[in-house]
Amino acid sequence: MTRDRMNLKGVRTLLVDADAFGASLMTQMLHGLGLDNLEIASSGSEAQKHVEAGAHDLCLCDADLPDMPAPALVQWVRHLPTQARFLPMLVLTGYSDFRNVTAFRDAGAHLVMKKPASPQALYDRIAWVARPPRAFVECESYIGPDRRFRSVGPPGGVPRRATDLSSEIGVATEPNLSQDEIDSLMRPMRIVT
Amino acid sequence: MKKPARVFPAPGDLAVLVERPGGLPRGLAIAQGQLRLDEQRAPALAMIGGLIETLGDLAARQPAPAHLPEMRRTCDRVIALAALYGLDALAEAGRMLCDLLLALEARQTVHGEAIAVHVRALRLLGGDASDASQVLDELGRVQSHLREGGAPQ
Repeated sequence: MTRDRMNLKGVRTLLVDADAFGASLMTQMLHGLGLDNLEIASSGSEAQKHVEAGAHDLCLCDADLPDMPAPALVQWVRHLPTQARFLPMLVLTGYSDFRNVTAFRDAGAHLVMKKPASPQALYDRIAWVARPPRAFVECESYIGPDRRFRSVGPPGGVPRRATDLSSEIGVATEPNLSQDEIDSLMRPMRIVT
Repeated sequence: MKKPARVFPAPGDLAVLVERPGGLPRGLAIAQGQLRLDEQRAPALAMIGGLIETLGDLAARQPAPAHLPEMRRTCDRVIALAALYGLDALAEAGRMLCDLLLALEARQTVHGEAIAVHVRALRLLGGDASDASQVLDELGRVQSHLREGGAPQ
């Protein structure tokens, strides 16, 4: 998703990166993008202290932490009893860590991004994370943002209920509605008689 | 009894904050970010050189399987920095070394010669990328050889 303009000034951001040079590069880039309220943690435990000490609007977390696996940090945040558990978390992985993308997703990360984190990629990913908040899911096996983006029907082996909609919707016979047409359907209008 | 799942709108200010008036247009923000990045080019290149030397030292010390994760993490940093600064051939050679290290880690074994060849390629491409395609082809051949039964000892 691209966004024409974002106001990142004052957005309280926690950057977790054990690599001092990587963190300094990231800081420079984020300042360039307009993000001026940045706290830096160089380990998972330091990040935990920052999260406990103050409210943040966004967390950018490197996947390679010296003292704990990054999914454990994400999971720790998600299990907090405070509002901090809703913290939008963007995990940045190196080439080899990206194979663990499902671990980060299952821990409750909002987004996993493979490096290099170019200014453009960072801007667009932050814009994506900053969309109107995604629904949050809390269940026994998962706490985090709702990962469902499309309806894929019931899982394998689960029969359709009589009340389920048919999966056969056929081929489109007319062109798609334009956004204006969709908007006009949603807009309440007074009926003049 | 299983606790029912709760699905609810997540509270959070980020979406509202970024919509406040002001801020930077996307193009300008990205250009500023790039400018800051470009200012760090020289130290970044020096860092890449240092990381390749670290890899070279590790490779020269007859690494054991226990050293592979450290080498892989160092290699990850080379890839990230090289790709960030447009050193595509170097990043590609780094990916090839990473793939090799991942395969060796999975088998808990080490192939010192193959690692050394890849590190030499990184040194070459870190300095001069004029023969990049030839170097990458040679690395590809090494990897094919390993896949086809030249199994690491």
